Parts: sequence; C-alpha cells; structure tokens
Amino acid sequence: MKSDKITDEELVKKSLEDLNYFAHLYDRYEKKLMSYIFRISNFSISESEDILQESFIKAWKNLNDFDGKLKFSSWIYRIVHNTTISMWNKSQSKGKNKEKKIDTEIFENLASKINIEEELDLKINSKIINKILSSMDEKYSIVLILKYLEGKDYKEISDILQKPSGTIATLINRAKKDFIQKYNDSKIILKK
Amino acid sequence: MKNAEKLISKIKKEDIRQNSFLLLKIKNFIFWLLFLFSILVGSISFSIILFFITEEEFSIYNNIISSGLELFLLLLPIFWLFLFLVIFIVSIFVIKKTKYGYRKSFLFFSFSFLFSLILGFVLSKTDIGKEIEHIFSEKIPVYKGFDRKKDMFWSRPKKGFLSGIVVSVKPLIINDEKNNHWEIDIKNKHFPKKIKIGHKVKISGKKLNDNTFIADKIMPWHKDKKFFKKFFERN
Repeated sequence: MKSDKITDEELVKKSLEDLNYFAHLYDRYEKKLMSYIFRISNFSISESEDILQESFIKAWKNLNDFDGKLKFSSWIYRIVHNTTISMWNKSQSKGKNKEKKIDTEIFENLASKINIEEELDLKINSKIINKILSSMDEKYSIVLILKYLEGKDYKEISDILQKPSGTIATLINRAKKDFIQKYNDSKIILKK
Repeated sequence: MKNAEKLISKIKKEDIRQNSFLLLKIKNFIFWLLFLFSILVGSISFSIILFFITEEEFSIYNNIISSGLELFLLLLPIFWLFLFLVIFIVSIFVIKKTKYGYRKSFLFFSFSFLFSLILGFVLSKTDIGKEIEHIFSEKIPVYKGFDRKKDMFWSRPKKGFLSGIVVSVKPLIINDEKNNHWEIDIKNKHFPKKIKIGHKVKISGKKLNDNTFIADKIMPWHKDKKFFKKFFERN
C-alpha cells in the first residue's frame, strides 16, 4: 500500500474502512511521538512503546470523533500527551526519578531558539538544561518543548493541551522568562 | 515484528472496536444543552434580582438610611445574586467540556453573560421573576431563611417601617408578622385604591403607640408590573 502521498486526514478515513491503513498512521508518527514521550518524561524505550501503543488504541476507539477541525497531528499529540502525563504522574507517586532525559543537541536547539545563545557559556552542558527543565513547573517545560523542540505553533499547542491560544501565549512568555532566570542562576552557581 | 504490526495485531486479537459516532455526538450535545440550560437559569435569577430592585421604593430608603452599603446589604437579594454568579461559572465549566470548548475566548463568555442579562431583563417584564420568587417563598422552607431581609426590614415599627396583611380598610387595620393588630392613622395621606382586605402592604411612617401607626406612605407589598399589560392593551 502506497501511503506516502496520502494526507493524515485521508488515512483516517481509509482506516475507518480498513484497519491496515491505521498502521501507516502509526508508522508516520512513531518516531516523532516516541521522541515527545522521552522529552516530557523519563520512561524507558519499552515503557514509551507501551504508552504509544496505548495511545494509538485510544485513538482507534475514538477515530469516529476525529474531524477536520483540527490537524490529525495535534489530535494524536494530545492523546499521547495525556496518556504520558497520566502514566508519568502515576510513576511519580511511586517515587520514580523526576529528572527528564534530554541530550546536548536538544539543549542547544532549545537555548538558541529562546535567544540566549549569546549568553551561552561553553561550560554549560546538557545536564544543566536537563536540571532547568526538570526544575520548571511542568506547564512551562511542556510548552517550551512543544514550541521549540516539536516546532508546533500556538494553535497546534492550544489543540494539544486544550487551552485557549491566549493562555498558551502567556504560558510561553512566562516559561521563557523562567527558563532564562534559571539559566542565569545556574551560571552564577557554576562561576562560584 | 514492527510496532505498527503489533498494534494492528492487538486490535484484531482483542477485537477493540470504535466508540459509536452517535454516542460521541450525543455526549457533546448534552454539554451544549447543559450550557443553554445554565444560561436560562442565570437569566431567571437575573430577572428575580431585577424584580427585587425595581419594586423597592428607594426614595423612602434614601431619606432614612444614610449609608449606601447599609441599603445594599439590607435589600440586595444575595441568594439570587449568588446563584446568578455560580450558574455563570458553571456554564463556563460546562462549555469547556464540549469538544472545542477550550477554544472559546473571553469574548464568547462576555456575550453569553450579556445574553443572560438581556434575557433576564425580558423575563423580568413578564413577571416570571415575581412568580418564581413567590414559588420559592411558599414552597421551599430553606429559601425563606435566605431572603427574609425585606420582611425583617419592614417589621420595625419603632424605626418607621411596618408591614402586614390588611384586615380592614375603613379604618385601615393590618395584622403584622407577629400577629399584632395595628390601626393605621392615614390622615390626609394618599391611600392606594387597589389595596383590599387580604393584601399585604408596607407602610412608612411613625409608631404612635403599641397598636397605632401614623402612615406617611402606604404601598402594596409588590409593585404591579405594567409593561405587558400596557403592551397588550395597545395591541
């Protein structure tokens, strides 16, 4: 089955008639969504695969509810996000390590997009950004990840997190300020 | 085996089916219905607030009560105002539960609020507020405790406020809340023709002794709403 040129929305329609098309949607989003799960949690690969599978089963059950008023990518991100956060909170209550995984490349990407690259100290490494994001309020770290690492616009973030666009804009502004503040604080600590 | 294949295999093996399209639509529809219902209840609450406000003789209070806050606390229908605000907050929560409710802006909620006020204003002109308030007063014992401020206000003969049921017109005698008979000295004051035996009245004036009250102004307990009467008479 050639599905590369078919849009997500067309694949959804075809999936309702033939389950095998649903596998193409999974293939199309597997990498992106696995990466997103890693970024907002600290789950292992196998745990993340389970979360992704559970999310796609939820999507399958509610496929009739999907309409063209939002992008399929926003819809599936929303389901994955909610499932991950729910599982993450459960694992937190069981005392699992809170610090999220984030690599050097991701850190540099995030830092430069928030326009603090000129302030970047070469000594700073991914461990610090990891700590900064982990120390941030979850609502702030998630909007930063969606905006700067997943490349989503305000409307998409609004659809994923089910919050008004105005609230998303406010959250991003506050998150940026908080990130820069924490980054500057970490520099002072390093110099000492 | 690829993860996608594992997923398809699981769906087939466990025979996982899609939720009904109709059920999903009904769920969304119910939340919209609840939203409209909350707007209607809000409007009725507002019409009752208007009923309380418009039937008061504020000119009388202005001469007697110096503090606006005192007047506000004495006469404002707190229960209905509280209900109106609670219902409005509930309507926001309900709309947020609809499929795209999270996209609704401040403007949408402002319009809903405004619509609720306008509908409440229209309802107040049809005496619905008065009727509902009556039903609450008579049928719901708890409500009596909430909204007896007006009764309490007009049961202070020493302060110049008296209310009760008319038991005789000539001479004017009323029976107050505590079942005391009061003879009302009308002197040259205007006596509303509509007042008959069995009607509840409120009287401002001065207490002369334990069963005589000198009237300054005699008013029916509830004002007549003439808006629709006039409207129908004209047409």
